[in-house]
Order: sequence, then C-alpha cells, then structure tokens
Amino acid sequence: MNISDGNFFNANNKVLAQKRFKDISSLVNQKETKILGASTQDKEVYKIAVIGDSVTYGLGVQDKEKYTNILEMELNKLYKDKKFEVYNFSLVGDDQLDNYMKYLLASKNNSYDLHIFAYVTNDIFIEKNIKYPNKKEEYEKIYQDCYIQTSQAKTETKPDENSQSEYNKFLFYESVNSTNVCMTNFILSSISKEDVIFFATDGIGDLDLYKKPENNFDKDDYYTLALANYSKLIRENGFKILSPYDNNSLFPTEKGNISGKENHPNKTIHKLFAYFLTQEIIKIQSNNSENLISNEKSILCDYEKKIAKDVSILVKEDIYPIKYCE
Amino acid sequence: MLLKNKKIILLIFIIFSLFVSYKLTYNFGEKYYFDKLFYRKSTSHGYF
Repeated sequence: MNISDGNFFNANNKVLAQKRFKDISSLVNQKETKILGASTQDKEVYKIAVIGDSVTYGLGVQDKEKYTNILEMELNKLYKDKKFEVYNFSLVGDDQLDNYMKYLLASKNNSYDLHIFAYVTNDIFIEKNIKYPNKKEEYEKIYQDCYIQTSQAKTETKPDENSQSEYNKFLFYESVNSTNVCMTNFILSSISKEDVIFFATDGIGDLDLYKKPENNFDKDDYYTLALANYSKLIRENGFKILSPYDNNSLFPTEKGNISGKENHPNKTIHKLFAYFLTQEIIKIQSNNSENLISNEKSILCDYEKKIAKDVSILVKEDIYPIKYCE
Repeated sequence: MLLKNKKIILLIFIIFSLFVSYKLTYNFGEKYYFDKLFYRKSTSHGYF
C-alpha cells in the first residue's frame, strides 16, 4: 500500500480499517464519525480531536494502548455530567501540512471543542503528495507564495531516513530560514488560536545548543535544535505548547522506546502521555471543576502519583511526585 | 456423575491453562522479542 496515495484509505484491510483507521478514514471520506457506546443524550459532550503523526497513530503499540484511547477512558471516569470523546486523526509520516489538511477537514465536518496538534521533529518537512484531499493544491498555493517571498526553491527530496545523521542535519536546515519555515508560518497563522493547543510528544528541544560550536554537534544535537526551532515558531504564532518533558517533569529520558529497531514510544509512555493530558485537560476545564468526581487538586495529585509509579517501574528507580502533591 | 464432573473441571482447567499460556507467551514475545516477532509484521501493532 502506498501511504502517500490518496486512495490509501479505501484499501481493503479489515483489521486496520475497523479499528486503527476508523476515525481518520471517516474524516477523509467525510462519513459519520464514531459514537461512543452509551447514550450521550442527557450529557454534555466534549469533543477532542488529536491530530498527529506516527506517535499518535500508535505505531508499535496495540490499538487499546494508544494514548488517545486511554485519555478518553480516563476523562470519562472523572466527570459526572460530562462525556468526552477523543478522536485520533493520525497516520504514519504525516507532516505539518497533512495535519493542517486534517484540521480543515475536521473543522468542516464536525465541531470539536479542542484540537490537539501532536508533533515531533519529523513533521517539520512538508512533502508534496496526494495523501489527503486537496493537499497537493494547497501545497502548490503556499509554495508559490513562499517561493516569491524567500526567493529560494524548496528541497524536493529528503535524504534517506536510515542515514540518521544526514536526515537530522537536513531537518535542522529545513527549520531555519527556509521556504519550509515560510510555509510553516503560513500554516500556523491559518489555524485558530482559540481551540488549538500543541502537544510536544518528544519535548520542545533546546535552543541553548546554539551556544555549542557547530563542529562539535552530534546527530542528536541537530535533531534537538530542529525541534527547538519548530517549537519557537509555534510559540511565536501564539500557541500554547504542552510538553511532558518540561523542567518539573517526571517523564523518563530513557527506556521509552519499544525496542532496538522500533523507536516509537512504548505502551508505558503512551499511558503516561494519557495521564499527562488528563491533568492538562482538567486544568483547561477548571471552570467545570464542580463536575469532577472529587477535588481538582487531589485528582491532579493522583495522576502525578500514577505517573511516578509507572516511571519507577520503567526505570527501576524510586520516583516521587513533585508538582501537585505538596 | 462424579466422573462427568471431574471431566468438566479438567476441561475448564485445560482451557484456562491454554489461555493463560497463550497470554504469557504473547506478552513475553512482545516484551523481549518484539523486533523478531512483531516489527513491521503485526497488524495489531499498526503495521500495514
């Protein structure tokens, strides 16, 4: 199956189509999206659209282990008269223009109370393909404007992703003063700031690396700087970024991958992402805290304890809550 | 009657043991042999 081909979602793979691709396939084909089991007629429904790439798609973990599924379950346990529906609009290799196209489709088809754009460094480079409806046309339109503004042609081919150091270096250069940056700014300025937040699944990078001489850079430094540049652009465009790897974070910096070959987050990290987002959504919904099953502060502390417990098991070291359990 | 009951209990035990063995083997394989058994092969892990 060619994933960059617009016919991808009509591919006949029952297992993937019925579970994993259900939300995104409904989005692309503009069909009725899921309705959760219980009747929602007597409850207020809060709809969250999570738009992302392979991390949010849950590559390497089972469908039930994806953080979007866990997030939906956790939120529905916490509020008495409110129901949450979390939609996962993510696919492997989606770039920021893909995410923008999905955002436009989602806004056209349905109304979501919150859009979460999950991102990692790989999403920086915008590719010209027909993955989503109207993507190619939108690409050409933005590209034309940016080409005139920057007088610079965009690199049409990216290096082989198996050559990690070359690929990271390429992503870094695409994140600085390029046509790609101009296109990124165009996309970010076209997204509503009221109901969109960004979720940095790999952290927000580190701009302090600019202080390090470039001839001492290793392959991860280019990756981290590219991520930092992208995060900076997001912030400059007025968006809030949720980063599970901020200064007060309990999140582990190692043992988060699935295996030696599969570098995507493992099921523990997915669970931690869900707990982290649950805390953030509780905070966003603080005007609704009387609907919570218990006191907001104690729930935030409970989730921090859960995070500490799972991280302790993962890294085999005692980790204690530091933020919400004073 | 007693023999029949014993057979039923044995059957339930065998089915339960098979299920537990399958689950344990699956989890063990997923944790320690992911690259060999699941990587780019398993549809339930999102590969296509």
